[in-house]
Amino acid sequence: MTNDPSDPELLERMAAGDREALAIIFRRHHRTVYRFSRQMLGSKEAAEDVTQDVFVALTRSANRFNPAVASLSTYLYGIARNLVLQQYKRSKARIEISIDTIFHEEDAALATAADPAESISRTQMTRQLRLAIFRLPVHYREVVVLCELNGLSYEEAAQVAGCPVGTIRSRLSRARQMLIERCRALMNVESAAEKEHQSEEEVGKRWLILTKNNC
Amino acid sequence: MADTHQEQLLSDLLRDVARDDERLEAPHLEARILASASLPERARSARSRAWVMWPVAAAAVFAVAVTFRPKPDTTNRAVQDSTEVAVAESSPAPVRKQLEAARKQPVRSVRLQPDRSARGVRLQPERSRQSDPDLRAQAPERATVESPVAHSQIEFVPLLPMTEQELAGPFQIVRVQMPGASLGSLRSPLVLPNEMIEADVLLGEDGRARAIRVNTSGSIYPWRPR
Repeated sequence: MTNDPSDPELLERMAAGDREALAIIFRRHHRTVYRFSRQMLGSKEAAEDVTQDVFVALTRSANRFNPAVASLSTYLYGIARNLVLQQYKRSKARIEISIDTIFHEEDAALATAADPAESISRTQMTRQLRLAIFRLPVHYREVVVLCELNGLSYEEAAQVAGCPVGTIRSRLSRARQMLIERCRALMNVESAAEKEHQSEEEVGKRWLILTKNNC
Repeated sequence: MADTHQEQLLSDLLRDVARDDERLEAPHLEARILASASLPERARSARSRAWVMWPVAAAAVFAVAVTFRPKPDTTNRAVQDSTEVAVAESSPAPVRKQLEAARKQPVRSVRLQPDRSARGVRLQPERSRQSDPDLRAQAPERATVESPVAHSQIEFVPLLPMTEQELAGPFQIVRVQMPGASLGSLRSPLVLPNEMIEADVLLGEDGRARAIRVNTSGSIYPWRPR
């Protein structure tokens, strides 16, 4: 039995000057805000700045939050989205530079994988997919990030983006088509590799490694 | 069929990306945010302190102004707007002697003291009390208690340079009431420009004002006893 206070209670305490309440809210929600910012911007530093600004903005506008309309995480997503879009307008070049930061982390994860060959192929795929996501137009990217990478429902994503649910559906569908088109060559190779894997497991795995390295 | 397979593969890859990104976190931001966030309570208390401090400061300024405000001279209020001649005395011989002596001394101003026995004006050069044994012997206690304000009580400030002939006098002292602004740079910062003050003007024979002495027993130095 836990006695964790709810988000509205914590916001009330925070509005009354309770710093511990702010700390609890931060620990509870900072991952989602940071992850969203990082997935949208691709830069660790920019994501940290946005995360900090989101919580500073929350302390200033806590009274605007209405728990009857949306959850606190959705509200924080909305603040983060506005800040991310502002960041986009200021600097678009930063994204291309900072993709390597993510790739380095994936390389580090590779070293501890059980099956290096399979990990390499999977990592190559996810790299290409990340790159494709980063190259999507921002309105399509945010839908993919919100719904696919962060698991928000269409309704929640519509609240965050401030648009109808139907728009979210159509944007997500279009974004997936764009991702498939951009990764089509990679996926064809992957399909072939799976067939090979089913028939000749060892041979197919070697072939997979060779083809991924050539991509 | 191929499209379905690609859709499925894309979904799998997206799940992989999402799973990888679950590790992303920035716990070190907590200290930064707690340090930089100004909570409403603190901001409100600062604002309320400001709202309290301003009236308190205004009240303190008002109290100081009322305390040191010059008290109106009820006896002269009726004639404050007019220039009033109060004293017209002259005594050429002692004045000339003392002015000549004053010119020989490296002084910046001369001090005029009324000589009751001679019913005239006696000019005395301002001398250093430290270097003059007579002054030290006459009033040793004044040397320790005399303040700059008390010093200015009897000091005439020259308005015009005086020639040899003008030093011969005769002089006239005219007591006037005038707005504080008329003193120009001689005005004390505590005297309001539109405040009426009382001063003694030393007039030469040609009727020109040679020196002026602000009457500190008047209303311009209210902290001094009358």
